[in-house]
Amino acid sequence: MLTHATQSGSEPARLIRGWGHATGSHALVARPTGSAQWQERLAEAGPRGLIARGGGCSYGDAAQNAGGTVALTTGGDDLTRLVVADATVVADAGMTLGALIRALAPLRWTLPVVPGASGVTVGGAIAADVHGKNHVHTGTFGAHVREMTVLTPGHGEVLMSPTVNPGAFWATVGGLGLTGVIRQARLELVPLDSWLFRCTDTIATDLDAMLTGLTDASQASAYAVGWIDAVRTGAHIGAGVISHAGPLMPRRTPPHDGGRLPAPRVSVPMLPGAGIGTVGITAVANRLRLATARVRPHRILPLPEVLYPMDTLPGWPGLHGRLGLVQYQFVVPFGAEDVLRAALIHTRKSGFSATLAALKVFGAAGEAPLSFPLPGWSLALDFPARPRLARVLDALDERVAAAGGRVYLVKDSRLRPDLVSAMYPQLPRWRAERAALDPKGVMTSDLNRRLHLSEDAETGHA
Amino acid sequence: MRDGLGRAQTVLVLGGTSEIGAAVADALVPAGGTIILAGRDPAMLDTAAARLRPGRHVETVAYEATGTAAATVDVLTAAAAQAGDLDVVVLCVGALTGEPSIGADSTAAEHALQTNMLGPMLAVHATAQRLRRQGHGTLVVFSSVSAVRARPRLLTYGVAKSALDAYARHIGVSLRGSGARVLVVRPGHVRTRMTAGLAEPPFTTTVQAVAATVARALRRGSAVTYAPAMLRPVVAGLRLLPATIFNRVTELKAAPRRGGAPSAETITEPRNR
Repeated sequence: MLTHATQSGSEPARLIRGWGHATGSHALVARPTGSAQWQERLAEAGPRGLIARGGGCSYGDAAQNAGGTVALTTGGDDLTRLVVADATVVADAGMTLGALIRALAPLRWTLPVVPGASGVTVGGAIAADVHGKNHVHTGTFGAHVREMTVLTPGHGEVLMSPTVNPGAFWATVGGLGLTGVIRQARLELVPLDSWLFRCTDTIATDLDAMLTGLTDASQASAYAVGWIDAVRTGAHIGAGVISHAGPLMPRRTPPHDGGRLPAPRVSVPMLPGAGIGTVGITAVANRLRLATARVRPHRILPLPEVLYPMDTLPGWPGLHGRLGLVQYQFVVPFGAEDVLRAALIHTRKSGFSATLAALKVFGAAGEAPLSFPLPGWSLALDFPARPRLARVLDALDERVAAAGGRVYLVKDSRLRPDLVSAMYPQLPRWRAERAALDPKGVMTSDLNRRLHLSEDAETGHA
Repeated sequence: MRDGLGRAQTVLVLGGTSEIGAAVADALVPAGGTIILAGRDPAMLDTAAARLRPGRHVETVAYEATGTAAATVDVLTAAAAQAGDLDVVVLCVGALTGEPSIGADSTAAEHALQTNMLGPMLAVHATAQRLRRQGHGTLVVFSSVSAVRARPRLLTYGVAKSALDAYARHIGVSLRGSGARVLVVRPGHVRTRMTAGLAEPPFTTTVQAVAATVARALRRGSAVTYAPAMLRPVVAGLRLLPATIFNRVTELKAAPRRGGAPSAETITEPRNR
């Protein structure tokens, strides 16, 4: 009989899942504190390597590491150590953006870019080079990182910025945690005009109206996102609601102290089967969403409710049943609108309708080789992780790649590895930087193994 | 790595010339994935590889299943060096041999035990170790319905499968918490080269149906599955019968196969390695 010795002692492996609950694997979980412990962990990582894990908000397997170590960066939201100077803040990698924004609010500062979930950590936001609903104006999160300290397996702690070690810096931004462990970062801030936002919903009756309306809204407002009713077909394909929001200007209300979180919603049990992921239920929910937009097109909401829509859906993956949820987010350049249409039509024809479909406009691409956004349209579609979905999405991948677009890696849980280099043409540049920072391939994740991102992952490092 | 939709990227078949093993790999691996067939006869491996659907990377590796555990360790290392992590390892080694009569030379019995029990058990041991280190992956072990209750006419085969079955299930239990798993498959009569010409009992199935059953069981994370599924209650019932009745029921002459195949008096080789 086999015994349960693990690579570094007797700790049992734990099941670590992606946020979507469709992926999961067993790994040793560590929570190092302080540079010495982190260095020790990196040095002692066995043949299956190590990955840092922040808020666990990746939909897929980006922060999983089967048979290896998953090292948690969270738990030390030490707000007393926040240093704001020169319109920047120095924050630990494990601090969540939600906590950071609440701490900054009384000082009348905020972050220029936040993703749709407040649980994302500073480290995770850099490693995924996240974007917000204001990408057109501000670019990605990485564009506002002044400098950061990264613990690399090859060279220990390295200070990186766009001017110091720029190659390493941009490989770490969007580098999915595979260049080292981000320990601390200095982030640029913008003044917080108001904790309250004026939000407006406009109804679009088809895809063309949606695209035009969203383009206008993105230019005119600070934040804009399109919600598509993915159940609709025929002439109404792409119909939905365009939501745009801007701070309640100018300073008519004092910035809120930020102390209050949005009330925690009722936690949702895991539903059987595909849960709400049926066309019928989605159709009803979408009707309600449209009706709300018609009845109350104008609302004033506090910042968290505007910026973190995913926080209002804490049980969202569980609603998709036992199989969990996969999100398919891709971007295609302007001019490839037919791919958006095809994505909506083909999934619908195959018997799926996204339970959530979010459309955004992206501005200029950043410098990071693995950064996701490029100028064009980003469409994010949520589906219950039914095996049949594979063929539909594989076919869409081909169209996305052919149009010069790409799939968002940090949200991925099912892309085919052979398409990655077409979608991310700067992959060789990233690989070279990573090889210098982590020559032995210590930093690795299930995502890395599945998509063969680093060269060592191609031949199975173990 | 298996992806979020449950698809395997790399499948290794130990006993790669087996029709069932190849069919399972064929069903599990999507385009762009890797199938590694490990077996003894290079010509038969090439034939098996040629029968797979196109679009996957297919490799063949030399492998002697009745050899030592080291043979399996070597083939696992070679496969991992070529393709990275192994998501699924299918063990379908064995040969259906007729029961050697008492008084005859014991070589046949020894050989049957070697092929159906000792070799595969050592392979289970070596593979389990590898998958546990890897932290994920499923070992699919082909047992048989005969493992549940051996029939007199296939006694040695049944007892050998029974030992393999029990061993694999308990290794599966000991792997709990490691991320690696074991799935024991108990097929009934399957139409293959191995059973060509034999009379077909009730619940006879095809390799494609078995492959589909395995794919479903992998998605569900089952520990044991029957192919076809209907065999589970049937076998549960047969198990409870008194020996005298059980022997009479299971030895009833099965209907001859359409096309008038020869009777089951002489069961001989084709084996899969």
